[in-house]
Amino acid sequence: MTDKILAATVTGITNPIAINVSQSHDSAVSMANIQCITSTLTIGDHVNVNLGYSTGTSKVFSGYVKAIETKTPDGVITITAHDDMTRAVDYFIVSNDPVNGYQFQNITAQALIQTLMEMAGLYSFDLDNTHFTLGVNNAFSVNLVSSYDYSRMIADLIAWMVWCDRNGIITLKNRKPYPMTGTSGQPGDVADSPIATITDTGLFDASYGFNEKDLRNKVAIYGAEGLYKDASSPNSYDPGTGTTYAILPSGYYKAMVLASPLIDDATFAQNACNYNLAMYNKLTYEVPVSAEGNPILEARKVITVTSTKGGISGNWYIFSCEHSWGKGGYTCNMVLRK
Amino acid sequence: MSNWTYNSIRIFTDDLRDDKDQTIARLGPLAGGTTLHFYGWEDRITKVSCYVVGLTDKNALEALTETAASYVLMTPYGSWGSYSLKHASFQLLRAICQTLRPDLSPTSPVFKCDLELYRDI
Repeated sequence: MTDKILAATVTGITNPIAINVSQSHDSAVSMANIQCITSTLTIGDHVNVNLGYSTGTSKVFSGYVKAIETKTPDGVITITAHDDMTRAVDYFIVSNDPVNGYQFQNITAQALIQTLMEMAGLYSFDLDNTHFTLGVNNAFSVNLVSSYDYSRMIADLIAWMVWCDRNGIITLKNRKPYPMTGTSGQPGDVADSPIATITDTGLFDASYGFNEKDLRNKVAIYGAEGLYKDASSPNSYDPGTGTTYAILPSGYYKAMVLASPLIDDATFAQNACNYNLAMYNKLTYEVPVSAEGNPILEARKVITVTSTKGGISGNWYIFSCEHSWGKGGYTCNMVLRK
Repeated sequence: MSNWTYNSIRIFTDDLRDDKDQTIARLGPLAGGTTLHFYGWEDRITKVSCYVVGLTDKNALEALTETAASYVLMTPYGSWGSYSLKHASFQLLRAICQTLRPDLSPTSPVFKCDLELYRDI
């Protein structure tokens, strides 16, 4: 039998009752829900959430208070907070020139994203070099869109991801929703190092499955001024076996289209097709697991699972992670992918 | 049975039971035995079975369920602590002549009373 004493600290709150922090590869923001009896927090306050045990806690969330709800008659206060990216999500870009908006030309993707984030008051960055330049031939305008939506659209074009980490740093990386090996030849492809190993003694339940729901074996791009490029393959990658073969019926293509006036360069367009095809043309192996709470666990990282239960041993990408802390103990409910 | 009071209201205690709980999550991993997560504890809950004589004291006890405040439970052994009254139930007994409270009329009603008290530190 293992005994652990739960511990948690939240800015502006003493003796929290229950804490839930959720984050996902796909989500614009991480969210925290904190239940307590007394709080000095108000809307817009910046909070840090540390979870763990009496032996030590670590930060799992930092962000802004978005909502406060008090329940009667028991007086339980529920505080909802979103991570720092919420500033970019809520910041609607409105130029004082309605005709031309904000004009950009010949700008790298990372420089444009940094500019858009700074408009929203975000100044901490970890932006990798994308080697993609936007508006090479023609200027383009940005207006009447949120900073996050536009930045995410750029990241999607090149099959990268933009997010805010738990320390409030805006991050732009070649982050695929599966463990990366550093062998794709794409810019920013770095082999993942697992952040933790989980064994059967730390796993409460797990299921295992795979599907072709997200598989796309054809990617087309509609760019500026009639620019069109595509990439396709009859064969798809099976990460379960490590082999490539015809997963979909012969001659059958599931297509996706990226359309953006930002793309006015043929090489850029073809690379974007190739990168997205490499990301989507594969089976998805998925393992929802419930594990003992560990503050080190977070979405967009890779962990190693060592289990005697069939099929789940190996390195897995944490697609989503929910820290659940309260009377039911401290658990992490994760969806792992490869 | 003498000298028991709750907020200075005289009660004649027949039985007292203290309950104390620790909140423990019991988690079962795939291997390696049970994992216990200690969350915290609950303060004492005291249940008192007693007799109350007279409508004045009965009504005074009932009123304590509406005050959102805590009061001292005094016993022959000293203060048992400060408690909020969570629940009070009264059962009128078939009594012709009460002798518990000589200071009251022998025809005063006698109630069997159960109090559920939450310790308030």
